[in-house]
Amino acid sequence: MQLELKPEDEAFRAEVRTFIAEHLPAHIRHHMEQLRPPTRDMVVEWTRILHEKGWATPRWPVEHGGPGWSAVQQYIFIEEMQAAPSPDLLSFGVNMVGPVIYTFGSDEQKSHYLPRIANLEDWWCQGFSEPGAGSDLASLRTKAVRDGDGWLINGQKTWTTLAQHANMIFVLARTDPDAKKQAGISFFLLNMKTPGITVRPIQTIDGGTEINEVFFDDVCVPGDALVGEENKGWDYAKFLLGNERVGIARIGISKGRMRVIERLARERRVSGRPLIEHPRFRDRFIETQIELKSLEITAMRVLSAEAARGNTGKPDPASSVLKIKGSELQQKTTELYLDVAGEMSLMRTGKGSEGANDATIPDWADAAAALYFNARKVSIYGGSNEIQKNIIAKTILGL
Amino acid sequence: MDFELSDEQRMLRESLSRLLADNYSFEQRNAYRASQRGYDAAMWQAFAEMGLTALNVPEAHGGLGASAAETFIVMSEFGRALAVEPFLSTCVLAPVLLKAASEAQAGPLLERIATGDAVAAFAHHEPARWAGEVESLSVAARETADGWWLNGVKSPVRHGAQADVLIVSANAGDEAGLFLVQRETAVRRDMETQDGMRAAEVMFEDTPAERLAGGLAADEAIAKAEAAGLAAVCAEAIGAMDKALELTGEYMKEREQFGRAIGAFQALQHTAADMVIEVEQARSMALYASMMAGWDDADARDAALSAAKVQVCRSARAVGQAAVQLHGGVGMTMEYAIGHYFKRLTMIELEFGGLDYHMDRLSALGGLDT
Repeated sequence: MQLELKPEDEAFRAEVRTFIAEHLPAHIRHHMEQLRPPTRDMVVEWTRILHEKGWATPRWPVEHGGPGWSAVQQYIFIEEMQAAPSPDLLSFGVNMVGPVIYTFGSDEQKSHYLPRIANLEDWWCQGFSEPGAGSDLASLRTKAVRDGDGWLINGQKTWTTLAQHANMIFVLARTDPDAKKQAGISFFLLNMKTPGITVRPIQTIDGGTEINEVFFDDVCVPGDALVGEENKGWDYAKFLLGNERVGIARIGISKGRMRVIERLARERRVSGRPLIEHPRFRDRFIETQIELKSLEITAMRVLSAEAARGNTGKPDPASSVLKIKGSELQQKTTELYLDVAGEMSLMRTGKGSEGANDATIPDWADAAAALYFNARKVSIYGGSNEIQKNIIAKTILGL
Repeated sequence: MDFELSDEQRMLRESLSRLLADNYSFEQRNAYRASQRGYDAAMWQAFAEMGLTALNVPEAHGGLGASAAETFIVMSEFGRALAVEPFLSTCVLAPVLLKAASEAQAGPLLERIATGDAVAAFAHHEPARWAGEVESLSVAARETADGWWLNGVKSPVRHGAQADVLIVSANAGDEAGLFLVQRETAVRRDMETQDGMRAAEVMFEDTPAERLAGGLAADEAIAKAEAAGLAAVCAEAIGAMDKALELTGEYMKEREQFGRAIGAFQALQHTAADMVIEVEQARSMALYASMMAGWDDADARDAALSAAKVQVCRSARAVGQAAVQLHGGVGMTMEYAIGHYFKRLTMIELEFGGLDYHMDRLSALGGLDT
């Protein structure tokens, strides 16, 4: 145990921070500093800048074009990206389906898809959840039946994030209806343009439409859409979800927000003095800082343990702790942001988006309420926090 | 940062853990704390033979000059066992305080500490004086041609009655000073603490004292000793919380109601899962406290330590309360171990400044860097 920061990690952090400061386009920076979700074009533009530097696939092994970073370096990179704040890489491609393809996919799938993921030529979305299969994902009912050399897919997916931008979707579908529920599932890669696929947007309580329903009506897909072996899809899905060990806490996002909130709380005057000097706000702000620091060190401990024992491919039970605490902190930061905005967040000015009116309210004020509403999702998705507590009770406490 | 134990550190933890497993059952601890001295002299000797008393003594004085990590490991193990020996005052606080003294003064005492021959206490707290307020010390030091003399009351002083020497903070005119007092020269009233340890009220009435340091050197030594003590009790809290969680998990598997183990009930599982989260968050900050306690930059050090103590206070309270709740009625009894963990955790909340004190201090320092 050595409780000092390693100088090489600090140097790496400085290198990443400098690169982002010098290369993040100004219009993207301005947009992100309102704590608004980036547009599709912004994600593509920024990803391609990173790709040119060789940084668009931070977790991939060198043989597939990754930078060969240690787990700690990967963590630092993502944290700095989020804290800048700059647009996240598209996780569905680079962190989810990418590793599945290079681990379980055919040579043809690897050579076709991996470069397109790295340069964000394909925008992937995730076809996992269904109306009747949320936390209990393995009860999914979308089915794929053999049809000549290919497959015929029927069913429905939901909560499909950014499907409206996507040209590709990875889908879990039932291929053996008689097997027990986890055993009869396969993993498919589908082009969204295939006839029979329909996308319907779902408006969320923040007013946005980042999620969708995706319908599959007699969708014919070729045989090479299958990843790995038939009926092994659940294993690949578990691998994909387990890959999210410390990233799921999204600590950088919370750090970036805390910086923005601190700046705004110094600027905004309430009853004659800056909000940051009001003791009740200040207590909440500092308590959130403390919890965030704790979580950051917890994440480093998980990485340190992994580095010591090697990657077993199984998720560390501590990742459930990171998910719960990380999501709670993301939510707390949005509450603080809303506290700063106060009544200014009442009106939906639409500022920061195209065709905005020129209301006198600051640009960021209505983003604060939208972000707060939107952030309720983070304790629900990725295995709800209650599911994570079940996992902790079972795997850590043996109950 | 590297949170994995080195081979030597693992050996230290394993051998201490084995020693405590063999000699520090709940019943044995009850006997130690009920003894006249309030702790076990043979255990103290065993700790000395393992080198624990020498950990923080410089090598020049027969010590090991170990890092903060070793103290973290030892305090965590003591937390698991609820050890009642005077390790914190003798082996954590005294070596830091003695850094402010001259070689000639500190050397002989440090050598006795290293061998386990001397027990030291830090007489710093005073009735109606909060942690950190060096400027308002009421114990007065007066210099005459024959030397220094102390007057006033220190309370509570951990192991003040058991200590061979007292290191006393005092108001020496327009500055603070640190003084060494031999055991027999002060009047000491020994008391059991809420958590089964010992602390004393120490009365000085024209008590002869040897001046160790004054002015800025004394202020800094006191601040660093409080920092080291804070980090040490945070580490102790981690061990106590780990064990409380283990005991609770075991109890939930054994205790049956409505025809099944109570651990099968989801409401109780989630309470226990919340305990896990609290312990992990506190462990991170306790490590952070150990890492930062020795820093010379006082503002950065104090901000980090205050943040750590706030987290540990919150976690200690949540874990202690939940552990008693999940044990049900037996959690309320002195004959079950869990209540004793709850009591120790509660006292750790209060030691070296409680939650409000540290929130105030961190706030005054402008919070943490994000």
